[in-house]
Amino acid sequence: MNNDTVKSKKLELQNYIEELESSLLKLKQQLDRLEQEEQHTAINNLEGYLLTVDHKYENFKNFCSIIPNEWRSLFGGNDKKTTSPRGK
Amino acid sequence: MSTPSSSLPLNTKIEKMTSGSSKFNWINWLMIVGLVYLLLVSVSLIGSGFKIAAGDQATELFAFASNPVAGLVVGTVATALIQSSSTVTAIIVGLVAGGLPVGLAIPMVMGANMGTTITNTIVSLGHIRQGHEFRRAFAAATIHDFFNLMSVFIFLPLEIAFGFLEKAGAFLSSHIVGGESMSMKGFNFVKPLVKPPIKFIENNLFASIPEAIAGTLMIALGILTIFFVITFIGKLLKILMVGRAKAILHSAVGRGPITGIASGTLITVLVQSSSTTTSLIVPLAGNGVFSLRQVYPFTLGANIGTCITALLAATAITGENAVFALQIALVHLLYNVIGVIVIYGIPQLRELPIRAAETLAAAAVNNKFYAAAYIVVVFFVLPLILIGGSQLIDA
Repeated sequence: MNNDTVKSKKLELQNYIEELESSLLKLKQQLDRLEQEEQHTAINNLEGYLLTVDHKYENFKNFCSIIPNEWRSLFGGNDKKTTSPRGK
Repeated sequence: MSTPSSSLPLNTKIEKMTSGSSKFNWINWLMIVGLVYLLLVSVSLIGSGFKIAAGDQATELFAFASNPVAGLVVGTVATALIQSSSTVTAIIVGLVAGGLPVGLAIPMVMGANMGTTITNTIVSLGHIRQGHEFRRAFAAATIHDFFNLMSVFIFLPLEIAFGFLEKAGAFLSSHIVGGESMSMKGFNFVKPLVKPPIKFIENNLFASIPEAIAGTLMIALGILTIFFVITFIGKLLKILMVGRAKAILHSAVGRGPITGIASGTLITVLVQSSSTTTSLIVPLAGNGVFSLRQVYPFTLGANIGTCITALLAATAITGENAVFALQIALVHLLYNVIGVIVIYGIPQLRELPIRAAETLAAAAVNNKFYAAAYIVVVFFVLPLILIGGSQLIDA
């Protein structure tokens, strides 16, 4: 490859990288906008989330009912685990 | 993303209550003014009761808390049990006004900060059946715990060694009070409002019983009233301030951590409860709407905002101990502000609560027993071990 070909190839690659970077930036901005829209929507539904907070003791009762099985699954050898689904 | 399934009834209820009629709002605001007054009276009642019950023996009475670790544990467990740091700090202000030395009260205030984090951890358990949601929610809740734990580990030894918070609080409070009470250097506007009911209780309700019992009953009545006031005021403010809170959150979206801290502070001041603020953000994080890094500064703001209750309580105190009541309230504020500046300001330290919360959440999602063990150990077993250990060392 002669010198001119190398230079043009380098220039081509630099342009390509710049293009990709600018596309990536646009995608990131798009993602930010979508995330922010989602956050604004969630904030509009703040009363619903407040309700979740108000129901914390029911959640706690629910949690307490799960724990014995989790204990058995951790320390109880080959007991069958019938409760909470693991992380998806 | 899942939205809270049963959100409609509350939405309807709150809309009815807030936008439905301005007359209802007006009544609510009037009730809040009444409740704040009741809070001031209760704090003053604890102070007066403690003075009557303990006399000059306040330090001896709290000898069990002369060990800072014991004070820290008392603050943590009391707050974890009643789930309100505002109530505990208001009571502490009342006790300081009654003669409890500020030096003994400082670890209790630090403990109150720690104990309040149990509430949002319980809220995060609502996501227990959804793996990914639970992982995010639990991390968002426990990041507050780890931050407060770090804060205690850094600042409690420094306070024991140098008393820097006590000194800074004393310096500021003596400059603000400038006299014998919260009188704006001469004009005392709280005393004429708060004293009459205290005198009435002292002279009529408990006049015929021995002083020590009367004082104890006054303290108990003050504590019960503060608990009622803080609970009720929180419920009312949640209804009244939900619109403001939304506006603050909307304006914080897409901005940096400083705005996050400021919005967390403002919302906590508005609803008078750090538990509400930090719990509110947990389902939002659980649903993946806010990331752990976005939630983090918001919870730190809640730590700062919650100091408003102790400051408000300190305004109720008159007389020679007013300066100490304000001092402990300012110590609470300084502790939280310095904690945020140091831990969040230093990138290496800032990352530690994030990593700890993510690691614990990953373990808890694999087996929920880890979540249960964490709650029991951090809020109840560890405090008991610390008390036992410190008593042994003392002995």
